[in-house]
Amino acid sequence: MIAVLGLVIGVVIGLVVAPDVPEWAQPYLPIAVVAALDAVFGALRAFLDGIFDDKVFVVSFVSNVLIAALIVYLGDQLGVGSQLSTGVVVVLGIRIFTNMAAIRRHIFRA
Amino acid sequence: MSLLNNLMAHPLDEGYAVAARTRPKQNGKSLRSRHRVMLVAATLVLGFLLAVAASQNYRGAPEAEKQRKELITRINQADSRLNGLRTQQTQLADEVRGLQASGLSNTSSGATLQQQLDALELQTGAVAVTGPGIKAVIDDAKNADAKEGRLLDVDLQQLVNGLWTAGAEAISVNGHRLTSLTAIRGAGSAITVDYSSLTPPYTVLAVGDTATVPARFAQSSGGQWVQYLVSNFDVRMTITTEDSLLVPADATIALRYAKVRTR
Repeated sequence: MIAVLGLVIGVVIGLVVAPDVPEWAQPYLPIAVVAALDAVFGALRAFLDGIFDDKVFVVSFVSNVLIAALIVYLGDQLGVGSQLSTGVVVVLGIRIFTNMAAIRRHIFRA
Repeated sequence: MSLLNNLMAHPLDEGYAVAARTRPKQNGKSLRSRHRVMLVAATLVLGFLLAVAASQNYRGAPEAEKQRKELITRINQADSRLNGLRTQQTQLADEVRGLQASGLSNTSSGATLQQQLDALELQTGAVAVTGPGIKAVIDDAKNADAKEGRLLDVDLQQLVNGLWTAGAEAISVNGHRLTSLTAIRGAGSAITVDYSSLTPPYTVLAVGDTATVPARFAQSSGGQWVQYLVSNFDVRMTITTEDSLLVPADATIALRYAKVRTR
């Protein structure tokens, strides 16, 4: 409950402040968002499995975002930034889908 | 494929299972509340990230549109400035011509020079002329796209050449007098005449014998070319004969380097 509240407040702050994303951060933002979503769906599934843990969620969230950004940064330096971004999105996308399937089974029993 | 299989089989962070196994049976209250704060902070950051990414994406599109609009305004401004300068040039050329005439009219040799000058100016296109002639308005096909139905520089060249062949004595395209120095060419998707980009429809005025020019034009290769365009590509063209046309002067006509050969 309190987590959803935090999410809503975060969205509101983001919309109200609407900061200009600096040029150097623009390639990392979408990847960071996808990585964060992966952490969130993982947490949701863990919550439904009854094994949710705040600390694990926070650590996985932060590390996911940082590692995703790092990979993109590294890719940019090596000249394969867009390919690595695609790779990150594919891997995280698969994880999100599988977690989502588990969540769906929990909720709809199907 | 083991990587993908692994990914599918264990999508959940191992940490959750480990934490669940090692979790002490009764949680310390203070520890839980500290984790709660971190959780809220993390979700706050997540929401913030989502909103910023989304708003960034939405703002990107109008930005491009704004830049396009700004470029269009700048082009229009430059265009109107060019037109203003052309008008000014025409006025100044008229003034020069008037002064020239008054200077020459004093002496008899001047008067003959003036006559010669008038005849030459008439032929080179340095003065505006009026007379009967035909007016051809030609436009892209209604459903023209990048591939078909759009008039090209060569089409306009053919039309103009057809009119010259048919006996036209003075021709202008959208107000640009054609002289021996006027180029009709394509630049990007626009046709430029006398280095000005034109937008369709193209109005071609040709002073000449209204009795013979239309028929001779239809028989000329240029006329046939245009007719082919009209019947095969739905290019729209209307040709009317006018009793009095005003074909403007080309104010920019001037030879800076060419000299008469000394005999």
